Amino acid sequence: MEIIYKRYLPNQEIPVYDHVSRRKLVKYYTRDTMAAVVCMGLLFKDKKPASDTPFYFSTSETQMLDYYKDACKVFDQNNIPFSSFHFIEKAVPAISPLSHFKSMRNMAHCFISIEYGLKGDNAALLGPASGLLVSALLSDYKGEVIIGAAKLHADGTAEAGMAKITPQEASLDPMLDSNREAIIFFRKHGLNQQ
Amino acid sequence: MSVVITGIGVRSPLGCSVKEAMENIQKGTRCVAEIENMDTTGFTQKAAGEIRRKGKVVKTEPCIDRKAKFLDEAIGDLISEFGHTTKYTPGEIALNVGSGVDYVDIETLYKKREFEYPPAEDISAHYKSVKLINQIAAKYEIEGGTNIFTAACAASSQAIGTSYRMIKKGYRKAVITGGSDSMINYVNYIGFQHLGAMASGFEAPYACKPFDKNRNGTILGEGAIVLFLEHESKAAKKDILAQIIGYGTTMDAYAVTDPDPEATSLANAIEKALEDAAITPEMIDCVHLHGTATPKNAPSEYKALKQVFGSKTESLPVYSLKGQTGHLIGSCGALEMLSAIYSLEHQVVLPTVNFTEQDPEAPLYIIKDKPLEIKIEYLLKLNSSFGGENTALVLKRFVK
Repeated sequence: MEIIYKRYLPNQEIPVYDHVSRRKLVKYYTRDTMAAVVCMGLLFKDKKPASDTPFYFSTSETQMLDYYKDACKVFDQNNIPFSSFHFIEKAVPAISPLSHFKSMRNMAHCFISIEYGLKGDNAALLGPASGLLVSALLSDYKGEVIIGAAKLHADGTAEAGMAKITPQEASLDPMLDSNREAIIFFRKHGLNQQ
Repeated sequence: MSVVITGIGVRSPLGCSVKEAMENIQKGTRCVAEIENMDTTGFTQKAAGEIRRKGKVVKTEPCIDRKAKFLDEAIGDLISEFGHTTKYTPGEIALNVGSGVDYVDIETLYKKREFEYPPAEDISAHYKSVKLINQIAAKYEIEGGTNIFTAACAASSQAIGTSYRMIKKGYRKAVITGGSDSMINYVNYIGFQHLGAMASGFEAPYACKPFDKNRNGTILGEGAIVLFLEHESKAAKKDILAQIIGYGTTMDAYAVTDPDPEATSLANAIEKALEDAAITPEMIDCVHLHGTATPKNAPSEYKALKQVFGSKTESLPVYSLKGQTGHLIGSCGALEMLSAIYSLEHQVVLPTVNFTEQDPEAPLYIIKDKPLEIKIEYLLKLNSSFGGENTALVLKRFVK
């Protein structure tokens, strides 16, 4: 198994532009997606994966309600109660259209697949490491598959991990039956490798 | 020996019991109407397929995450009405569900002043899909793992497909699987509308027009639908509703918002599922398509079928449930398994509700007016996501 794990502090710049060819899409990225893209770039810096390589990716529990803070503040600033009419008239314009993409769970999986042309067996997941490892071990692919996870913390800290793993390695990992977050798998193995 | 479906729990626009849902599928009842569960003053589109019981919308307070509440109820029904879980130990059963974006209850968020504080681990539980679904698993003593699939419109199909693989390969003995989603709330409904995928200009019950020449978008629905999957060798024949014999999933890797117009990856998903099922394209009797009613969906699905089925495509009956219910996003594939089971049990392809005029860009064989009675041994079920994930499931009739 080969693994890359990265953690970026709240105000730390994530060098995502060093690892993307479709730079216009970066505006849709959350910080955890950026971190995952960096990990993927480092994992495949020498040779891109074959397009049929399976790719399974897990995001973490949401901590991104700050997208909607501006919409809430509109009610305060205008001293108006919450209502459907006021939501449409006042709050909706304060919600960035980008937030719709950023709140969708499968976007990191989608962006990385587009960047690397990954068209094979796949799953977009949320939460536990078990789903990620089970998806890998159930794959019929002959060879290593790609698994990844990312988490955006409330303070803006972003962490991500990507790995090449065989179905057999996935089947032997102690986190296979774990309900702990998928990112912990990468944190644990990534720190061990550093 | 195959993987079989032996139980269903349902909360959907079609109804809150299997009997009610199947009756409405048969009748072609239009379950999309103007939204009742929240005030929509100021909305330019007000249509949705809300969860109904005996025709009436099931209403909840804004602080309730409907996708969690109804998933809890659907699993409760599945366990109490079918009782198959008693055959297995808690550790032998997994829970695999498709789900959607988190429920952002902006009204409560504002009123409780939570927006004033940094979002954190302990903020209101209804923003926490993992926490809620794990609580449900614990409540029903499902200890074989909880896995949440999030591939948007393909989420529940990926959950069902992975569950099939788990049982087929002996990783788990049984799985409760399906999906639960509701985007019928202020933030997510308007957000979806802003993505440009929602229909406009039609009366609510007629707004979602799968495959129709005049379709201009989809309509949101909501629901929680779970299936009980187990190995055929462990199931009583009388309980078997259908067999799952093949699964394939691929990624477009084309664009965030649009399907690949050439549909090569969707075609590849079909080929993988057929290979997994060890059958040829000629053996497929009908296809239940994703059929969202967006302008780009139908031509893309047609092209995928054409690549796999060739000249048979124009005579292969196809169907979409979404005209009746709207698009349940993270749980659409699970709900559509009910119409697939209906087709297999009754040997019919039902008319696609709200389809009236053929689109020359998608010359599919869509049934109108009355059910088409044919022999259906093998049925293909497709779903594709906003983001590019494709799924194909092959179902087989079970003769009791």
